[in-house]
Amino acid sequence: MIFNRKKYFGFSNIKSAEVLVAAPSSFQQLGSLLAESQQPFAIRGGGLSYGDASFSSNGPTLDVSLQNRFIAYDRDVGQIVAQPGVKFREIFQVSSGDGWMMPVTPGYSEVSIGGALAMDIHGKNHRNSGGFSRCVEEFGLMLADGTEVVCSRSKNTELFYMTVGGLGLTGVITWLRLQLEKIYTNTIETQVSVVKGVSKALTALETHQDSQYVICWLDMLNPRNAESATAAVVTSSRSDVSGSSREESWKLRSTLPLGLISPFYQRTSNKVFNLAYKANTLYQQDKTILVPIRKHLFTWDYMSSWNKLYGNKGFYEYQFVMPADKPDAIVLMFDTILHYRADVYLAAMKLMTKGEGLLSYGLERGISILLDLPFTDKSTMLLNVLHKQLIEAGGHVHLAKDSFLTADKFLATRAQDVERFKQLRKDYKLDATFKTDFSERLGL
Amino acid sequence: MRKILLLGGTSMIGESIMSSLLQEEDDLIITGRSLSTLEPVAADLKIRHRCTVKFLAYDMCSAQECEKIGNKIVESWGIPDIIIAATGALGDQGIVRDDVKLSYQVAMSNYLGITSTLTPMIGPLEQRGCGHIVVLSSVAGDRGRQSNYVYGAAKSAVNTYLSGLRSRLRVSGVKVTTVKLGFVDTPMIAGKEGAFLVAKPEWVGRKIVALINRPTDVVYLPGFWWLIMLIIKHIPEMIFKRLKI
Repeated sequence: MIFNRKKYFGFSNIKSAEVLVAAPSSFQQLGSLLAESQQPFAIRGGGLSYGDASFSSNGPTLDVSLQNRFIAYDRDVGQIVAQPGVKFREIFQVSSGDGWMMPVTPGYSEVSIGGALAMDIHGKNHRNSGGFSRCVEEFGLMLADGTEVVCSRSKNTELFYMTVGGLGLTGVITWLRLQLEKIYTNTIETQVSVVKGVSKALTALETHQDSQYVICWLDMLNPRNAESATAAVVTSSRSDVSGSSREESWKLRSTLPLGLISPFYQRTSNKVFNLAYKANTLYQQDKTILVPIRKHLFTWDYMSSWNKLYGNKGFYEYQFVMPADKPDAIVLMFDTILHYRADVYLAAMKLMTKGEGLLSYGLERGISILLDLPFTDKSTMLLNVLHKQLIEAGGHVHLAKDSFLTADKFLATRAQDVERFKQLRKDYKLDATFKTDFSERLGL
Repeated sequence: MRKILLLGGTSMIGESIMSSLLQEEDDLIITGRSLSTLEPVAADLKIRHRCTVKFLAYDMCSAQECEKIGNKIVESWGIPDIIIAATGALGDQGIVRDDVKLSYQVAMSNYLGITSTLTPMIGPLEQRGCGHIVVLSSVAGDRGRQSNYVYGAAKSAVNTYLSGLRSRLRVSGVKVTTVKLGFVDTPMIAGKEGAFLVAKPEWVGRKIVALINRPTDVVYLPGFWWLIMLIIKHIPEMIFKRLKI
């Protein structure tokens, strides 16, 4: 196998490394490499995780993104078997014409399904539909000695639940069998309601928990305290009215070089943007808007290089889940953000339930909160304070987005799961073979 | 419904051409070295594009087999509307240049294997009077450089062959396109030093599909290679032989 030297960046641009990379031509080739070799490997798919989960500076990185073939598709029952490098966009293109859709999708369609399983990613419908793993019936997993096993909820269950959300540290996912969901429409009905204050936003979110998709946007730059912050709760469900069946071209995606305007992406400009966004939601309030399903699900396709907005230094995306029955703790966190006058350019909340995997993101009746901040000392200081409050309230961090945690900060959030995960990795002899910069950082 | 023949069905560029070329109900044959690598590619194309995909494995280094496959395709499947040849092996020049067997293989997969497979189809194509042959060649065929002249010679031969074929088929209306590729980010150049201005295979695929819709004779992809090769072609041999390129 031919190894190249490359520099890899995480999606949020904070973590990077000089890496030795090879792209195996098949899983057989990868298997024999694993069987022969004693050194640790990192497995890389789409490379879209925010931190350093997709590469390793201590051993070679194996790029499996070219393993992206469909293996089987049954259009009568909506089942797809595909290799892990297949992207959500490709599944959408293949199946939406037959009225099948992935029940759980990320906001960006270039995410690969293998990575989606390894991070147990979620959409705007976690409370109702759970994480990505819920649509995975079974998958193939290549272990450290190069042998392959089939994992499902009834076969090799231990490996199944540790691989879901297992950060690619439990073996190489070689194929996935996905169960799609029937759709009868290609449009989504969206409604916005604007409320003042974080507690009211939390109540509004809970009252809409039966809607298919709920998300809440928050202005964290203009208000003085959490109870005067503007929140826009966007609820949406698949419409019965079918819009035009004309397929939108996938080439429409924006290729605007957003990096060029990064010098202007500052607190003041974001303050103005937030005010404009608020005005727009107020205008849209109580109206029902029909949106093409693709535009609704894959919001970030339309500004795919948004991560470059923060410039070369990169940004933190601190996403964490809090128990819904502790609204005071949540309000306190938002108050802290405003007290520090932190540069939280984007803040959003979603409803969560428990994830399936051992390290999956989510809590039974949880609230997921997302904060985007430029990578500065001030931001790091704020996150240190917020993280203490998070530990106290019993929440934890979404690992797919993380570039902040250290081993003890991670252990403090979910010690039991972490210890169990480590033990299982030892038991299955995976810990010496699969290592990434992320696993080193988290002490896994 | 178009009948499409892709030689080198498992090549990365071949696959990226297919991803923008294929439409529902197209009838496709892909060929390659082994059934075990062709089968998953065929299954994938079938699912993505809802077209019929057949696959044939044969050894391109044997002229008899090439001819047999060429005949078999015409007899049992019909005359293709679009033929794309995406085969080719670069090999490691340092080894290939001193190894007769390997340089023979390079010549076969880049030149004689392609023309031997095509030969049985050209008569019928000429008679029918329509069709399009696209062969992926390389800028390496424009001048023999010490770093890859075995490969370059085969590409040069195929370019010459196509130039004559184009002229022969002009009256009948069958189009022949020579695509001279620069560096493309495929396994062929992985780990090779000195690759520069590397193009993405998806981009190359889209450009080639555009060429199929608007046939052109000879194309450099990416286009700036035309200028680079123009300069390289005009360096006097006296000087050129002293260049370590």
